[in-house]
Amino acid sequence: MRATTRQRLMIAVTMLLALLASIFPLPDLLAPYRPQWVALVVSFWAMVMPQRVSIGTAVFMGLLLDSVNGALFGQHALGLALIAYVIGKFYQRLILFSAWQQALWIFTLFFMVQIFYLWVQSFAGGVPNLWQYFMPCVTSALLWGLVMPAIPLQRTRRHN
Amino acid sequence: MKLLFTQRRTTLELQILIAFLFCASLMALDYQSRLGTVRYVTNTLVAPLQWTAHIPVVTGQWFSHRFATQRQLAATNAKLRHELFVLRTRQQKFATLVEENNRLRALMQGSSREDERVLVAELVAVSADPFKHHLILNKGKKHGVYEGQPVIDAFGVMGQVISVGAASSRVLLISDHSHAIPVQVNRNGMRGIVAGTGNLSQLSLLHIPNTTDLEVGDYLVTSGLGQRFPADYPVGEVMSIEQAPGQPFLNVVVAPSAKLDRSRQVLLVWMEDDMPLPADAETISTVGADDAAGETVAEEAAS
Repeated sequence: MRATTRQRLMIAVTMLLALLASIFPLPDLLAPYRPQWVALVVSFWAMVMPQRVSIGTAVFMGLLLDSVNGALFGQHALGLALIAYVIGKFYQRLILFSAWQQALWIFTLFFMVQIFYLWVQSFAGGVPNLWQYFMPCVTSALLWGLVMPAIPLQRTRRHN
Repeated sequence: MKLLFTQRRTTLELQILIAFLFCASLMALDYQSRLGTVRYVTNTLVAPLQWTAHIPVVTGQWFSHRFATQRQLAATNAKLRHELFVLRTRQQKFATLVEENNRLRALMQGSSREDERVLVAELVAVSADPFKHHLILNKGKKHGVYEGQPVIDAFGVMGQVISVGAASSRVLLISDHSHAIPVQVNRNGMRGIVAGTGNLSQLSLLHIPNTTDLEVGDYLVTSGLGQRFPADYPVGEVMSIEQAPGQPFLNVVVAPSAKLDRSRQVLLVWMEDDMPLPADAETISTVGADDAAGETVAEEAAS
C-alpha cells in the first residue's frame, strides 16, 4: 500500500515538473529545440507502469498543456492520448528494447503526433512551414536514448 | 497479479475511442469559441504554474535591480529626465492642437474624439512555443480585462487579449500568424490590413495593388475599422516594397512600432463604454498635461 502511494506521488511530481519544464522560459536560440517534456514523462510511465498511467492520465495532462500553451483545447490531449495508446499496446515489447531502439519508437510516435498538431493548427490559424517545427521530436528521442540507460528499472517485476 | 489474457486490450481500445470523441468535441467547441467558462477556469488553474516557471526570470531582474551601480542609475535617471523634458515640451503643443482639432471637428459637424482608459499590466510569461506569439499578463477578469481588448506599449499596438483568467490574461501579438489588424497609411489615409508573419520583427501589409501610392518609410496607424482597436495608434513602418512580376499584389514588409519582444510593461486599453472599468484605470488625457496620471504610470513602471 505504501509502495503505491509512493508511486503515485512520484508520478504526480514528475508530471508537474514536466509541465513546468515545458513552459520554462528559454533563450530564443534554444526555444525551438525544447523537448516535449510532458509527452516524454507520459510515455515513460505508460511504458513502466501501464496499470497506473494510461490514456486517462494522458488526456488530463494534455488538457493542462493546452491551457498552459494556449493551444486549441483538446489538441495536446488527443496527441498524448494517442501516444499513451500506442505505448500501452506495445509496452511489453518496448520495455525489453534497448534505450536507442525505444528512442526510435519515441521519435516516430512524436513525429506523427507533431504532424497531427500541425494539421490541427492549420484549422486554428497559420502554420509555421519550418523544419524547426519538428526539432522537438529529435531532441525528445535523443534525450530518451541518453537518459533511459541511467534509470534503474525492475524489468522482471514490471507489473507493479 | 495480472493474468495473461485479460480484457485489457479491449478496454484500451474503448479508452482511446472515448478520448478521441471527447477531445474532438472539445476542439470543435473551442474552435467555435464556445468554451468561455471552461477556458476561464483552466486559465485560472494554471496561472500559478506560469508564475512558478517565471520565478528565475524575476529573480534575475531583482538581482540586477538590486545591484545596479550608482553610475548606471544616474545614467538612466539623466536619460529619463531628458525624455520627460522632450515629451513635456511636445505635450504643450499637443494640448492646443487637440483643442483646435476639436473646434474644427465641431465646425464640420463631426463628433470629437473620446479619451481611452488604460491600465498598466506586467508581463508574467511569454509563450513557450516559438511558433505562437503569446504573452501572459498579470491582470485578469478581476481587473475588468475582457476578451478582444487591445494591448499597447509605449511605442505602438502590441496585440489583443484572447483569453482571460481570474488574475491573468493571454495576449495574441500582432506578429502571430493568426493575427491581422486594420490600418491606414498616415500620409494619405489609404486603408489596408497588416497581418503577422510569425516573425517578431516583420509584419506584412496584405493585398496592395501594384499601382498603389505607397513608399518605404510610410507610417501605418490603426484605422479603428473593425472596432477592436482604437484609431490612430502606431502599428508599424513600411520597411520594403517588392514588386514580384506576375503577382497581382505588392509584397510589403512592415516593421512593428511596438517593442514586441522587449516591453515588460504594457497598457490595456478600454475603448468600449459598456465594459466595466477597474478602479485604478487611468485616462489617456488629450487635454492638458495630467501630472497625477503620469506619475502613477511612472511609479508602476519603477516598481
